[in-house]
Order: sequence, then structure tokens, then C-alpha cells
Amino acid sequence: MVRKTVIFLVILLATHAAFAAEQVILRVGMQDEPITLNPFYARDVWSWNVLGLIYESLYGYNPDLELVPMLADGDPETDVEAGTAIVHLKEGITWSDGSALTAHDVAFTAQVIQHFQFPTLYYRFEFVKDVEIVDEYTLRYHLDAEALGAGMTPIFETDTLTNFVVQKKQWKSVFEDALRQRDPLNWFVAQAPQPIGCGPYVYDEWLHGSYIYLARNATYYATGMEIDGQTVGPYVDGILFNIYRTTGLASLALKKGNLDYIFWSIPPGFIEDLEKDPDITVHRNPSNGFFYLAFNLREGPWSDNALRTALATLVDRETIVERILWNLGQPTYSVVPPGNAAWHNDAVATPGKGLTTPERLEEARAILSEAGYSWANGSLALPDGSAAPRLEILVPPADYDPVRDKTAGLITVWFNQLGLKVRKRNISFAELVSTVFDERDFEAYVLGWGLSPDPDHVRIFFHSKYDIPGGFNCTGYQDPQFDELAQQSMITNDSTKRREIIFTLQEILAEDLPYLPIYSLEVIEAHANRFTGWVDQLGGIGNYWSFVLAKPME
Amino acid sequence: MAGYILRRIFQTLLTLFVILTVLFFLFRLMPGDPASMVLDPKMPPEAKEALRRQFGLDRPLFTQYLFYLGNVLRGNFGRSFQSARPVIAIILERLPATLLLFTTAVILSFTLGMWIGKLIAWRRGGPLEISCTLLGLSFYTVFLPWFGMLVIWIFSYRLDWFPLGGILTPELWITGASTWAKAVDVLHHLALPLLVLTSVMFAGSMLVMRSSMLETLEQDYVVSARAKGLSERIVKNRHAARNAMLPLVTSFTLSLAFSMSGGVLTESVFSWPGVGTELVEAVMAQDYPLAQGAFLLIAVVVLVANVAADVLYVVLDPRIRYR
Amino acid sequence: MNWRRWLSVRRNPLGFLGAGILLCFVLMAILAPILPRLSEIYDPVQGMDPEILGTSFPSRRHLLGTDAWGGDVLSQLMHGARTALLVAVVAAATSVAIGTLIGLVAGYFAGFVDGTLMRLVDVMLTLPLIPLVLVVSSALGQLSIWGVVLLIGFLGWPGIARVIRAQALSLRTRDFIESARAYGAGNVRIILRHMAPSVLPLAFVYMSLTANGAIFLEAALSFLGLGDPNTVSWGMMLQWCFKTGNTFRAPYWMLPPGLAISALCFSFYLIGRGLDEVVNPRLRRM
Repeated sequence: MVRKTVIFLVILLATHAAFAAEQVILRVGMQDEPITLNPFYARDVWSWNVLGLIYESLYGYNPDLELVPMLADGDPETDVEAGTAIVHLKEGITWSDGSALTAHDVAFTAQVIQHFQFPTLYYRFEFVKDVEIVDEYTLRYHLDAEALGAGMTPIFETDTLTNFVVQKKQWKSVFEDALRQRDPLNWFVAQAPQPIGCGPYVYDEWLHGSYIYLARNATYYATGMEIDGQTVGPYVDGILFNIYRTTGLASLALKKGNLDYIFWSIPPGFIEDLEKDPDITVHRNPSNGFFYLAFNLREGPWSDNALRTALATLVDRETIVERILWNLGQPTYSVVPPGNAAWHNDAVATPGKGLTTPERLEEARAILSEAGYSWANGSLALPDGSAAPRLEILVPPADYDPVRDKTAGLITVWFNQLGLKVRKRNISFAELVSTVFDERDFEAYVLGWGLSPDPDHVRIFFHSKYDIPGGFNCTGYQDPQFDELAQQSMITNDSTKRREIIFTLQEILAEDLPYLPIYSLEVIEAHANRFTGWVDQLGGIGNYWSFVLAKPME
Repeated sequence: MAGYILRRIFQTLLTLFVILTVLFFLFRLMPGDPASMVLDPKMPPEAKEALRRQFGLDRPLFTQYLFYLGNVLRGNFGRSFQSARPVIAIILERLPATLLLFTTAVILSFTLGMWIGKLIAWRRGGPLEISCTLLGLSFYTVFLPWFGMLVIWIFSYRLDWFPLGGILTPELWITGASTWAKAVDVLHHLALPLLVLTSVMFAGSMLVMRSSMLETLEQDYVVSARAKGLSERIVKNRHAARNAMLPLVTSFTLSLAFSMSGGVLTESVFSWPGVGTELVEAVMAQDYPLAQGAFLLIAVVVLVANVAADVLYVVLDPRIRYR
Repeated sequence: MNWRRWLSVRRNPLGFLGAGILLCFVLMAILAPILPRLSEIYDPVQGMDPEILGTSFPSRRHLLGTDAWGGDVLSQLMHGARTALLVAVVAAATSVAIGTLIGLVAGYFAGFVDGTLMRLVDVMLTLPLIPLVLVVSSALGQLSIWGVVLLIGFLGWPGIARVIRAQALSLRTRDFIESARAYGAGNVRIILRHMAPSVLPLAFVYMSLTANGAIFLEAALSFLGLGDPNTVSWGMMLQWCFKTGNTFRAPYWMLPPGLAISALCFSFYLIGRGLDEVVNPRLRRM
């Protein structure tokens, strides 16, 4: 019995080696399984890591984050007067089952989204009144010109045209079956037919709990095209997504040669080891997001700009980045993170920058004294003479994000030095989010954002019309001048002018301080040198371009 | 005998019902809102309301409870908040992995404990007894997740004899290996979690077996067996041990819950894709239906094992059989 | 019950080994505040060594090295002892108090009361504790250390209840109980003044064994990420070591907390077994 096992183990290893030599497979480690492969319902990063390689959209972002046509052919032709836009499709694109991609597929996808109004997708089609099929490869979008303002806006391009396209042939019956159910929406999102896409890879197998395997799409339309002087592949026979639940184990697997790439940030403890390893390359890229302290401007001492400015002076971002982030991030003073180079304004106000803690304290005191604050027995007193109330900063649990927790802890210590009675309170992420965005009953909190390349969030987070329960303006910031400028940013087509407006908006926010942006993390990833051609982009090397350009080392 | 089994099954069902009810109310009364886990900067407020409706959280509590019970009776444990897939499908997918680890560990630790317990009871007072007892107790009280990490470090990382976790080697499975090769692969992955769980569990059986054996060895029938001139081995195995096993089976039944607790922790550390890891993840994600479903399945497994052990006891105990 | 005879080391070596280990941890807990008083870099929760960035091997400044944020591991370990002992004592005391009470009530009244309570005990005993604690704590959200302790306390009583109930059942027919009733003593008085003292020794035995379970549960909860992040506990230390990917490269951070948990559990178990032998005549012949 033992002998038989040993013989088979040997055969096992031999066949494994043989197979490995025949096919070139990129082995990727993922921390979690995709929640679903239904693109209408998937909203987590793991699902889209996989789906993003199977499905394509009309337009996409190139490595420099510019919008370029993917399934589309050329730029959209807009008619501002009529409120329409015409999009042409490339001809000859086929789905992985061999049938052709036509305008019917695009229109159908829009129809499904508009019918069900999926909470995570609906905003993309909010301003689309109708998608008209002109012919097999041409579409005309009818837009709600009134809601959008003066004609075509950048929102249509960045939201609507970057949405995925599904095959009508596959999803039509699912859609119709759903309509016959008692609860169509819930039934529809629970369906997960095997994905048929037109992207660089094709779905092959998903063994729940262990792995997902995607094979190369031999009929991928973009194979052979030139981008930035490189020819698009894919150059690997397949991608194997291994599910490793803990970061430590995945990093070990990478070191041992069992993985080629880990699809998330390396834990800080491993960075040094991996950088020294000659068979592994470590990439550092900025992330498109930031972490911040926010105030509730509606009532209490927080509503006084002088107090907020004084507190901002105390927050030593450089120390936080150095000590708590081990320099694996950058200080951020603006609500558009530095990584988003196209839109980031680095000339905004930076209170306290470069000062030591005692100096910051002195300056903060000066600001407050001038505004009428005083101190009694070391405790801060408001201009009206009353003692400053105790204030609570809400933070997610420490194990959810130890960095955020330690940052908040440090900030609490600094604020207390000013004579303010500040306390940090950890509550569950779900409760925190509901307290802040729904009930809006808080004093301050620390959270983070992951953003898209377009800076429209600046409008959504601070425009007064979003200051409603469930809306994203949870700080209660209301400024008419800001509102008008923000509205303009939404409807300005001229990108230079738009950039100017966004820059001004950042400056205003850095003065008014509803948010105190603190830091922006770096994305640090590692891959084995077995493959080369990875593309650095805002957000890391785990992007579409890497997967179509990566080739095995010769 | 049949009456006994039926009574046990009825007890089990009653237990399950109580658990279901308590769990349901516990979850619904907790602060926070699961819809909050799905936040997108571009989502309009009406859409959040739609999400709440989608998760069925807009109906009164008691109505929700009645729907819940009705569903459970039909085998519908709701849908996961995260993936909208039916909970029953998700947990049944994970069940084989847990059963594999749990059953083998339980059987192995029971057998090992019984064997060593028998051995050291026979050879009382020697260094063997003391070392086995101490070793067993050390494993019994060691912190399981930490012990698991240690085992991975030594046997996977340093010595490279075993894989780093998981249940299979994907590269092997996607390239169409034979069933035999796949089975060997799974066993190879099973080795370390099994080692950890068994080490931690065996001392319980060992100590009970030992004390039980000691008592039995004093009994009259053993003395008379010896007087009859039977060999020590026969006395030990056929007479003493068989009777000593009865208290062992009782304690074994009680230890099943503990074994499952250990199993959940072991699954976590080794990324073993079973119901235990599913429970931990669902709890982290506050995916209530999935967490409840996973817990219930785990409870069912333990309850079934309990009934099986009780039946085994009845079968083994001659006193009951002759009633 | 001749305590003096049994408390001699020779007769009860394991019990004394356990007591010895426990004493070390108690000392550790008592001495814990000394380090932060020396310098604030030794503060277990917020302490960071300004000259060290990240993990470092043991040195003269940091006898057990530093964690991923430059915090002193030894200080955390010592403060963890306080948490562990607090959890052990309070959770065990809660469990034992509830269990003893329920056991006494069941044993004294017997009949229907006994039947229902023991049914409940049976139900709870078949439930695996870790999954149960997980599921309950997820419903309760983020727990403070007291929440964790009480949760463990409220879930740990069934085992004790059963044992105490057996003892109470045998006591209720004894002479001194009968005479107390004859004198007109109320039920509560009988239970508390007459029966309780007799079962107390047994309760102490189980307190030790429950303490073992409580420490393990708290450590497991913290390890999985459901503990109180504002208190230092050994389970938390392991979790942060694991999460920051330092499990295999910082043995000075990974080994001490795990060893501590295991050693403390080991000691409580030995003490419990030792006391068990004293209290429970059957096991005396070891």
C-alpha cells in the first residue's frame, strides 16, 4: 500500500512537471473568493479581478488613465443640441461561443440595468433616456440633457460608456425568466450562468473554495493591436486564481515559487524579504484613495472653522506616514489623492506642515486665541466662555485596519494636548457607516475612500444637495459658491477648464476643512520574475494591461 | 433500543429548534445595517433603500421570524447577503471538507487516545505514564491556532514536506490528473491539519481510558480471568479494555463539541475550505444568513455524531442490551 | 477531607506544578505597570520606540524585541497577563456562580424543575463553543473586554451545573437538610446556607477548569479578530503578528504569546485536576 502510494506520488510529480512545461499558466493569489460571477451583482474587488478579464466595455482606460475605445470604434459623436451621442462598434468581435458582438448586446445590457436599477450600477445609466439601435454596429444614446446641464458631459463617458457588455443571447432568457418570478430582482442577481465574454480570457472552471481558472481567448479581438508601442497578447495560456485566505501564506507561496503574483498589497513584514529576493520583483504604485478625519459641521464646536484649522495644524501627517505607515504611503492634504496626478492639486493649504509638535501646538493656540478661545486649568473654553464639550472620534475596529486605528489614536493624543477632551471609539464598520451616512449623528470619524480616476467625487461628497440621509455629504458642508463651481465641473467639457475648476474646489475645501485628509497608501505588490511586462498604473500592477501584456521570461 | 434512538432524535430536533429561534432574534436585534457594507460614492440614496428592500429588512420583526421558520422547514436558509446565492448551496459545498477533517481527526484521536491510555494504565507508575500524561496534557492545553502556525512553519515552510494550506494543488487539478492522483493530493494536504487536530484531542481520550482501565483492572472478573491462567494480553484486551471503553464512549460524546470547536480553528489556520472557515468569514462580513446557516450545519454535524455515539454506547453496554 | 495530607507536594505533584506556573503569571501581571513607568515607549497600547521602525530582534532596550510598530513585546506580554487573568477569574466566576445556582436549584427541587433545567443543560452541552461564541459575538457587534468576559461567562455554565446538580441531588436527602426543613427553614435559606457550602469545593475545582476554557476562548476570539482592540491580550498579539505577515519572521513576537496562553491554560488545568483529586475520592488513587 505504501509502495503504491509512493509510486503514484512520483508519477504525480512527473506528470505535474510535464504539464507545467506544456502550458504557460500565470498563477495569481487572491485573498478572497469572488462573491459572484454575475456582473450585474458583483461589486467586490475579487469578483471584478476575474470578471474584468472576461468582460469588456465600449471604452476603457489606457495605462495613462485616458479613455480610449475598446469595443467601440473611434470617439463618440455628440450632438449637444439634440442631446444624443452616436457610438460605433468595431466589427468582427466575437463572443467566446463564436457568435458576433453587435449593438443588440450593448442595448440589451443597458435595458437590463435600467429595468432592475441595480443599486451599484444604476448611476451609470441615470441620465440615459434611451439606447437606440441604428444598425448592427451603431448605437445612438439619447441623454437627459436637462438633468445633465448644457449638453454632453464627461459623466456620460466615464460612467455609461465604461460599463461592461453582456451577450444578449445568453442573458435574454435569464432576464425573461426573472420577470416571471415573484421577486425578479433577487432571483436575477442570484443567477450565475457561466460567463460568456469577449475579453482576453475565457471562463474555464471554478472550484469553490480553492481556485478559478481562466483560459486564453484564442479569438480575442485586440490580440495584435498596438498600445504604447507594445503588442497586445495575451501571452499566457491561462490564469489560475488561487484562493489564499491569509496574506502571510500567499507571500510564502510566492517565495517558494508556487505563485507568480499576489493580487493585493504585500504585508509590510514581507516587503524587505521580497525586495531582496532575486527571483521576485516588487512594484510600488500610488493608490487612488485616501484616509481622512471628517467633522460634523452642523452643530457643536466643530462648526467653527477656526477650531478646525487649529486642529488641522496639529495633525502631523509626515510623522504618521513615517511611523505608522512605515513610509508606505504619502501625506495627503487634498481630497484628490496625490496618486491621481492628472487632477491632484498639491498647492492647497497645508497648515502646520514642517513644524515640530511643540511648534504646532503653539500655532494652534495662537489661532484659537485670536478667535476668542481661552484655557482654564488646561481645558479649552469656547469663545462664549463655556467649557468645550467632550468629543468622540469614531473609528472602525483595530483589527479591521490597525493603521487607521493607530492614526486615530495618535490624533486623539495631539488633540488632547490642546486642552480638548477627545476620545477615540471603535465601532464595527457597518455601524460606523450607518451612523455617519444614515443617522448623521456623530462628531468626527476616520474613514477612507477608494476612488475612480475621474474626480467627480469632489462634487458628490460636498455639494449641498447630497446633504440628505443616505447621501454622501455626511459632514453637512453647505457653501453656495462651492455648489456653483461643483455644478460647473460636472458640465464642463473643456478638460483644461474643468481641471482649473477642480483645482479651485480642492483649494476651497482645504481652507474650509470639512474633511481633514491625512494619508494615501501606496500599493506594494510583488510578482515572480518568471513573467515580465507588468504595467504600473495608479492602483497597482494588477490591471487589465498587465494581464494582456505580461509574457513569460525567455 | 428503537425507542431510545427515536427519543434521541426528537431531542436533537428540539435542540435545533431552540437554537434557530435564539439565533434569529439575536441577529435581528443587533445595531448597524448590513446594507452599509455595500457603499459606492455614486450610489443615490433611493438605491440604498432598494438594497434594504432587496435584503428583506423592511418588514416587521415577528413577520420575518415566521417567514424564516417556514423557510427552514422547506430547507431554505435564505440567501447570503454577499453573493445572493442560497445559503444551503454554499454550506453544502463546504460540508465534505469539514466532514473529512472532522471524522478522521475524531476517529484518529479516539483510537490513539484509547491505545495509549490502555498502554499506560497497564504499565502504571513508570516514566512512560508520566511522559505520556504530560505530553498529552501539553497538547490538550496548547493554543490551537498558534500550534497550527508552528506546525506550518516547521513542516511546510522550513522542511517543505507538506503544502502551506488549502485542500488541493490547483495546477494539478486543472491539468486533468487521475482520480487517484487527486485523492493523494487531498490526503497530502490533509496531513498537517489532521496532525494538529488529533494531537490536541487525543489526550482527553487517553486520560479517561487510563482511569477507566485502572478501575476495571480492580474488578472481580479481571482477577478471575487472571486466576484462570489467561495470558496478560488477553486479559488486557478482551476483558479489561472492552469494559473500560464504556466511560470512554461517554466522554467521547461530550468531547465532540470540543472537537468541532478545534476543527473550526484548525480550518481557519490552514485555509481548509470547510464550513468552519465559511462561518468565520460570514461572521466577519456580518452576512447573517450565511453565518447562521454555517453554525446550524456545524451544530447538526455535532448532534448527529452525538446520537451516533450514544447508539454506539447502547450497543456496547451489555447491561442495557439485556434489559 | 484531610486537606493537609493532600496538599503535600509528593501526593499532588501536578497540582503544584500548575500552581507554580500560575504564580509566575500572577507575578508578571503585578509587575506589568513597571515598564511603562520607566518610559512611555513601553506603553502596551500606544507605545512606539522613536528610534526603531517596525519589528526588531530582542535587544537590551527591548528584551523581547518590538512589534510591527516599534512597540515593546515584553510589555505587551506582561499586560496581556493581566487581561488573561482578569478574563479567567471573572468569566470563570460568572460561569461557576450561574452554574452552581442552577445546579443547586435543579438538584434541590428535583422533579419537573430538574428535568427542564437539565434538558437545557443537555442542549447547551451539545453546542460547540467556538462557533457559538462566534455567531453570538457577530450579532452583538464589536465587544469590549467586559463584553467578551461576560459572553464567555454566560455560555460556560452548563458543565458545572450538571456536576453540582448531581451533588445536590445526593445532598437533599441527607439528615441535616431534613432537619433544616423540619425547623421551618425556607427553600432559599436551605439552598444558600446549608447546601451551598457543601458543594463549594466542587465548584472551586470547576472554576479552575472553566478558567482554562475562558482563556482559550478569549484568545481564540482575539485571534480571529473579534476581541477588544483597546486591550492588550495575547490572542491580539498573535493576530497582529499573523495579519502583518510576521508569523515566520519574528519568532520573538510569535512565540511568547502562544506559549503564554498555552502555559496558563496548562496551569489552570493542572490545578483543576489536582483539586479534583482532593475533592473527588474516586480519582484519588493516581
